[in-house]
Amino acid sequence: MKASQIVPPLVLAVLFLAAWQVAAATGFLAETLGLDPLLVPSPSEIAAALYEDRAVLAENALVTLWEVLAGFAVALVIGVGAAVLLHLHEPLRRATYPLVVASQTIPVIVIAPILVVWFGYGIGPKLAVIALICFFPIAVNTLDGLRSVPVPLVEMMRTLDARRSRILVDVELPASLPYLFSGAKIAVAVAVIGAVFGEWVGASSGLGYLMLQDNAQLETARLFASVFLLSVIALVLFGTVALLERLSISWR
Amino acid sequence: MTAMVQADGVGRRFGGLEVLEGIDFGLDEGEVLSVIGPSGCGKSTLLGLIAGLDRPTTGTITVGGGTASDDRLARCAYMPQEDCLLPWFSALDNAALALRNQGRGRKVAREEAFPVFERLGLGGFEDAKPAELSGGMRQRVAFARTWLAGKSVLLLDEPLASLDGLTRRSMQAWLAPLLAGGERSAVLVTHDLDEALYLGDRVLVLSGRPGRVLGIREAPGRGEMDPVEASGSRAFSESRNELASLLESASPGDQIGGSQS
Repeated sequence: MKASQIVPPLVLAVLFLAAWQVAAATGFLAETLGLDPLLVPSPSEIAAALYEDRAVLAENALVTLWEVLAGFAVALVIGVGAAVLLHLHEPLRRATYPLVVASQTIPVIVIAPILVVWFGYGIGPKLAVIALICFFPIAVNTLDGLRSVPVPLVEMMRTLDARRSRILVDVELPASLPYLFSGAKIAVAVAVIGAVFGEWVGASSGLGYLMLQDNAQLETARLFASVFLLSVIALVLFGTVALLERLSISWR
Repeated sequence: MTAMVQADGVGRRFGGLEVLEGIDFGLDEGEVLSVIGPSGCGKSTLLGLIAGLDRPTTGTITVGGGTASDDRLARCAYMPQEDCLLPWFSALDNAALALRNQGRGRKVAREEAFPVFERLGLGGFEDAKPAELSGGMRQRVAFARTWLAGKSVLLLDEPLASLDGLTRRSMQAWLAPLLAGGERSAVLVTHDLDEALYLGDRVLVLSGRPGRVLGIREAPGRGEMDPVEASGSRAFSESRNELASLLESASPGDQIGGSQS
């Protein structure tokens, strides 16, 4: 990345944190909001909580990270699999596409408690929630990518004796990769939200679980520290997917 | 001599739009037939019909003495207007696509494809990606790919149309001896009269939509000279004038390109 890409967001972040620090430390923020100063931590207090409770935070962050990775992996396999299946079978695509779209209209926060009833308090319901929200962008984008191949390219392959499977592997799948990566980038970003929802309805560890505890105990500084770690996780995963994209699409 | 391609009364309609009507022609073994006509006259549609990618609404097409219902895809190699190279494969892998599709392993396919690849002046660019090649080289890779499919009939859809004038001249010069070798039959669609005369044994002139056969003319001294020299010869310019007036009779006002188009 170039300096011109890094400097502007960095300057903005520093300015924001500085303004927050001043507003919180002077009590201005709490007074304006009509809150107890205890409930409005400053960035330095959040940083202190981040450092002091690093062991607890790291332990729970790892739990959440693992859930996100596993849920994303499940969505990747099912999403790409479904896209290929629907692409190869036109009647099936027409019949099930509305259902795929419907899967995205289910409010995850509503379905999460049901999943806990079904799958218990283990990793199952979290995986299901994460996979459910990651599935849609991956499946829809991959399907679009598979269908993006120009007709003359497929006709050319057919006159060169290509069987259906060869056209899929040599032409359609590579052509869909950029689309798949776009979907995957959206998916990893929302996967973190899914993990928190999943933990809120039934968990004994994870950053979402810790946030619930801290919320009840008015540990607002550590609550913000968890939020900070969640966005770090999302950013790192997003960056990793973007890097993989650059490495695997070398022909552009 | 057996006809490699035989078209009898071929018509194609898309909905209410009549694109081709009553097309009759034969293509002999080893012969190159140039097809020329105003834009939108159904030249590409005709190639699709011969290739078996599409079915005629009326009439029949047979390839290689087969029946009309035969799978023509197996007998024709089709080179679309765009080079249609796969950007994720190297130049040599693109050229070897048909060999891979026919079941060879990657290494064997590359080895078999290499002599043709080299003969087309592409040696040294085996592992270059299509995006790294010039327009002329991409067309040559596309031609190598079509040639290596090993089919007896080549269907070339304006193979040089996307190139600038100079590059096109040199492409014509290397294409001519390959096509003149008599190993393969070819149908060459073009909008360039000079190219049609220089590369073809005969030239079929189509009318504007719906495309009908206006006439089929012999092309004098194809491929024997340099394309620039050829276009200056007397027989050549007589044929060109004859074809041009044939075209004009069908489509007044429609600009048909000569060498500068």
